[in-house]
Amino acid sequence: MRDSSKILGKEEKAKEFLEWRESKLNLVKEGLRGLEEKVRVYNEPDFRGPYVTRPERSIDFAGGNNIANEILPPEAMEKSMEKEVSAEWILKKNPEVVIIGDWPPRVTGYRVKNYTKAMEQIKEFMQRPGMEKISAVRNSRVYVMDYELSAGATSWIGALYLAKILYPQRFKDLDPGQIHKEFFEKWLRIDYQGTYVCPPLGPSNKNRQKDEGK
Amino acid sequence: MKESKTEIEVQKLYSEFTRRKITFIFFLSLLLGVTAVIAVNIGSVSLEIGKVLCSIFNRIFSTNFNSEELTSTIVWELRLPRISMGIVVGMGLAMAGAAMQGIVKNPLASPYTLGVASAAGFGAALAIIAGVGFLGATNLWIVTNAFLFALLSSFLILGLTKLKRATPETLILAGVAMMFLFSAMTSLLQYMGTEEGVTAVVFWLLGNLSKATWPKVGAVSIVVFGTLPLFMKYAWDFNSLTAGDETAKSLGVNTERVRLVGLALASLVTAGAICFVGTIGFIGLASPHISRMIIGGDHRFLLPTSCLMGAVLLLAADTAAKTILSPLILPVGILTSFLGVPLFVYLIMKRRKEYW
Repeated sequence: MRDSSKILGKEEKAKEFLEWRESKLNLVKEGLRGLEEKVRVYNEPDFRGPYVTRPERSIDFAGGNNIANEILPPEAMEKSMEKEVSAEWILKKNPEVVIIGDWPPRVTGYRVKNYTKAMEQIKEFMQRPGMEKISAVRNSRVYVMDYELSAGATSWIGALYLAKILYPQRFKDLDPGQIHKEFFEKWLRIDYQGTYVCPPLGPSNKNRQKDEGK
Repeated sequence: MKESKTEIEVQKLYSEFTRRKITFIFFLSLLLGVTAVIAVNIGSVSLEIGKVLCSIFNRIFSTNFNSEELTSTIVWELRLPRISMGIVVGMGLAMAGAAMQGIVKNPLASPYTLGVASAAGFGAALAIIAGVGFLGATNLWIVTNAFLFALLSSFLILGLTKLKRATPETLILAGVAMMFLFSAMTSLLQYMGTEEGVTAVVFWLLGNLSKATWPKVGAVSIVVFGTLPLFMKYAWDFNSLTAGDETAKSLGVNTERVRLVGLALASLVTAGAICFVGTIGFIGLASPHISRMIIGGDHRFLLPTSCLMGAVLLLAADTAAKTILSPLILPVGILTSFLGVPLFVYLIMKRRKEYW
């Protein structure tokens, strides 16, 4: 990014942006300080079918304990080495949060206006045989996320969302949607629209925070 | 006096001959049972054999043996559907293969000879790449599309052969034509599709039993067990076909009709089996051959033996696929070939006479 900014002669702007981004990411780092028990996460990019998983940098950054890290090397992130795992192994690991990466974005993203389809996808996961036994499903902590936000160029924004998903108590005041909006309007100079994370996070969602208390 | 004696001897020989075959079928069923018991006990979560059996009994006889809920879930919702799916799909593919080889009198025939697999693959690819995706309600689209296109290809061939005569040559050539047509269409779709869509298509084409659920097992079972008696009814006719068209006709067999009906049935079974699990190769080709080498070419015995052989092969392959890199799962298609090919080659090298 610094290089391209030099080419385009906008070094100042780029520096400003990077600083702004760094400040937001520091919010996550600070919020996670003193974290002892990481939340177990199961990550499923949905483009290859059920129970295909992989490590994800954004999940690691947000303080999640991605269960795929146990069986796949970190290089899998760069080489897109997603692999199928057995459903019973997921039962055994009992993830507390499930992140479904929507790719290519169909049920979430810039053009999607409501959460109906994303909710259907969540329901599909919850109704898979045996999955009703895992903590994430019992506590309704299954999320669909635009995969661009978990693994793409904007995965740093994804990390903000993930931090809030994983630790709503710690990140009560963090508003990833607001930062996302700022990114769109201030830096990309386009209108903010679309749905990116389902079910939506936010201060209005009190139930979810209560769950975390347990 | 002398004549009746030989007659008795021949009868004795014949009943001896059949008894051997029936024993072999019995042995295969036993083997299938043992494989299934092994398969239900192996998985990424190690469960005690006792607990697994308890949870099975509890559900069937509503007894109240001491068994944990998690064990019960794993056994009943994850392992058993997959095992049952392996069995019925293996049976279906092997049965279709045995029938196809008999109908077209060609040892290279398989359930996929008539382009059924390519057509199913095209149907699935169309559903995936048209953007309806892999999960959720859209899954139904993939299954339906695969099934419909598989049947479509066989109807096209039936139509073509209706115009000419249903000889083995026309059938095979028309099948090859269909295969190329649908493969080309799938390639075209992949060329136009997104990278992710293409990945999904390749994944589907590899074949996979992970998506097995009880309703799907039920659907495949209906197709497989519904067509098995029909195939058995034609067993004698298939036998006469292998003796050559002239002989068959002189025995009063309507060769064309047998071919067309057999073909339609084989396509139906294949389509029913692969629409849920993707194209699983080799089982349909190898199981009938292995069975034929062991018990001979009499379709009355060959059909059930092939079924059992296919079920054992696919189940064993899938169990290996789940176990080798556990908890990672290998595509089952890779394992069917790795397990089946050595057995296949061994039998080819060892056979004493021309079995075909």
